[in-house]
Amino acid sequence: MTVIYALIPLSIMLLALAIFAFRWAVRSKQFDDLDRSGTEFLFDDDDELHRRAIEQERKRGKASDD
Amino acid sequence: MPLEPTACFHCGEPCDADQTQFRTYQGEEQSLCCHGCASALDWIEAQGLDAFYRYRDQHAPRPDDQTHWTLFDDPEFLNAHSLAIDSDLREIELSIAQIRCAACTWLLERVLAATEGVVQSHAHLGRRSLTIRWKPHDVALSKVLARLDQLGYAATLLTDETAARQRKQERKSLLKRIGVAGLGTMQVMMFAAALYVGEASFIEADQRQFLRWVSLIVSIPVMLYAAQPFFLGAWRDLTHRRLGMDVPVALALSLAWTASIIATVLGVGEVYFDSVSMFALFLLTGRYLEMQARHQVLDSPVEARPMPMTLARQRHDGQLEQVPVAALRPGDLVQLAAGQQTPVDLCLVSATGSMDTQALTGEFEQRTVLAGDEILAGSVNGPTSINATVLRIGQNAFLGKLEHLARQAEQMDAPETRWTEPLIRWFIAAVLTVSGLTLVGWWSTDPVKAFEYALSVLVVTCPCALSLAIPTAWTVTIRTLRKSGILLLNPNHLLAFANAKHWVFDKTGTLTEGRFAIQAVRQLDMDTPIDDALSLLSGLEANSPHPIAYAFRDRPTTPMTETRQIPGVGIEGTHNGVNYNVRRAHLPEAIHGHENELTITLVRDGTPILSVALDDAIRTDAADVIGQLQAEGVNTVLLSGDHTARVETIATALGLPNWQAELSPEGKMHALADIDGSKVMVGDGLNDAPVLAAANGSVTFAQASDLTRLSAGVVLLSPNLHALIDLRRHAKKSRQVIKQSLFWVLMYNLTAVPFAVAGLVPPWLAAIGMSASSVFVITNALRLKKLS
Repeated sequence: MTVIYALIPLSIMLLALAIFAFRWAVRSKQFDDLDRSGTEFLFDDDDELHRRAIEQERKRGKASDD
Repeated sequence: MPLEPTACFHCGEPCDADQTQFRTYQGEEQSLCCHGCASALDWIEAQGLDAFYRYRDQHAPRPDDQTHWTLFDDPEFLNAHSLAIDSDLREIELSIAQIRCAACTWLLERVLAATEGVVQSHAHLGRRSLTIRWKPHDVALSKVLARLDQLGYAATLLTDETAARQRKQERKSLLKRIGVAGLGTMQVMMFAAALYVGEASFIEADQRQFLRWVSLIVSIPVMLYAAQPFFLGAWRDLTHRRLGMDVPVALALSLAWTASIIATVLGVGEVYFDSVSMFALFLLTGRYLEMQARHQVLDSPVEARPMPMTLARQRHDGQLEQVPVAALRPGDLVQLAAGQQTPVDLCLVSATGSMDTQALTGEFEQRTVLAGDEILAGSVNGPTSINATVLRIGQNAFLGKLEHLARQAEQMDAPETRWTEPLIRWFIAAVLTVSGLTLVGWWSTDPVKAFEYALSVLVVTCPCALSLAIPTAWTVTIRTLRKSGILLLNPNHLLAFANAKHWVFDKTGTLTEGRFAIQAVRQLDMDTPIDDALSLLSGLEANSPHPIAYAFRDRPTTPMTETRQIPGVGIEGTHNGVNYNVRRAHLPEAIHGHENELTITLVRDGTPILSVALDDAIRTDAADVIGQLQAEGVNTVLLSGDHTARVETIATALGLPNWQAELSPEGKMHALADIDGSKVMVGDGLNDAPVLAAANGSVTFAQASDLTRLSAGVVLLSPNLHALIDLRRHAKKSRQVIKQSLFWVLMYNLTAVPFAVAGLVPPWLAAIGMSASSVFVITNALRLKKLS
């Protein structure tokens, strides 16, 4: 059971990390407009960068199949 | 042949036959109602933004290019309303009431991304606002806003920028606290579970002690950061010598936490880190939901008619210039456009004009004003533009006075809303006394035991459950009501909705629709069928700004050409070469012939063919709701600013024996104060703001002005009066749940205290009792999830 002396401090460090991640998410306005985030993915296909990324991914997939 | 009106592809409004534009969009022909909509479609298509039409779930707003945007280039104006990020980059947040769905936000951001000089933009659906970061040297903001206007999105300044910014800050800070409390609670509960299990089995003493220390460390940020608002609130309450809800919360948190720290350090007794963290998390979540409901109302712009930001002022050379309302001074000569609302008190210079003062006085019909007459702030101009001098501004104008009156009324706190305070005061005093006596009583026998027992008295009686009873019930009630379109902004009003014996109503816009509707028609020319005549009449009224025109909306219309307003008479137009006009009815054409009735007559080439009686229609559900309230023993009262005869008609129709008419805002205040006991006020006008603030419970509608909405405790999202019955029923249920919770928690405490004093309650039992009573309170509150 002595392993808890190592694992619990580790979990507390992860907790601190999680708190910082949450603070960052709040600061970068990710919780700002919850009415909108639900539908935002619908527009992904119209995003040029997104389209290019999918294209690239597809090419890479083909390349690895060969 | 009248065409069946088709809905415009862009904005969804019915298309006018002779204005309709056609466009081929994705292989299909679509009709558009006006040039503005057509050019909006063209532009959206040309930019490759047609995803907008695929993803929208509501029609786009109709473009309206009436507004002037040059004001937004004025450096002084920009300094006051926008933020300088650096020397050549500014940021501004604007309200756009026309943002309706996610596709709107997407379109706005795309349009701005394609605009040179705009660096970044973010459209907010919940708040219906748009934040733009732009380079003033590269692009004039007026150009950007005019572009959006062409698409049908008219930007206005946020109603109160500083307050809006503060709200945003408040939300973020509370959300961060909830995050810390949530994550912390999960960790501490995990350790607590190990401790509980360990109690019964194998865990070694030093591992136990280690887990306690770890729990203590994790609870520190929860207590010192997340729970801070409760401690600050309690401190504020105490320095003002009052006992609010935060005092018992802060007391419970600090007592249980301190006791746990002492227990950890000394290695004796029990720890309650899990309970305090969870308690803080529950309360913070409740507080967040309550705040969200309030902000939702305050942040969303009024779509109906926002107060203008600028007025046209005449310069010395006779030219008109748009100036911000704040820059107006008494004596300035201004021009008020047709249909514009005045933000300041004016004195009419034009010979005559007509004013809609419905919002101010509840008076339904437009009133004619003559040169030299005063026009109060909040009045809406009739169909012709007028010239006037500024009489009073800001706080001295009528709106400022109303606001002052409302704020004053708010200060007078209704005693009923604080009914739990004496209970809590008594309870805290009793708990502290009993635990003090326990300590003293056991001291001579065994000081260590004495301390332990005194702590267990504190823990057993922990006011956690007691102080959870009201917030949890409120939180669940707010959520439940919101689902049915009732926004509860001030939960303190709940009790009044349950208890009040008097429900006071405003007339225009509350019990009535507040706009003209066709009451009766009379055929004067037997060769013209009524439907044809009505369609001709609708054609004449189609583009009239006069409130009468509202009665003819959404009806089939016969297109008219050469329509023009004849001031003081009516409207004239031509169809198939025949002249038509509409005017007020002469006596032989009248339908009912009573004095309040407004009847108009359609005339073809000098021959009257149809008379139509118009009136403010009583809401369809008004009689039913009033009847239900009266059946439950509620005294219903009607207070109106409109003319006696009109008010009497409505009061008789609805069976309201108690009514008063021709009341000024102050008059309404007096009439309300004369009613004894707890009272609920339902109203929507600006003149209702003070009475709404003064009543124990108050309800208004989402369409009401900012001042009115800020003064009310409840905002109804849809103008459905049946919501009042739901509100009353649910308020009663929530009162019952709160009373139950308080009763059982007190019973539990009274039973447990003697055992704790005698030292018969082991710490683990105290902890279970404390948690169980909190769980009971929360479960009981969850019964409010369904609308009864």
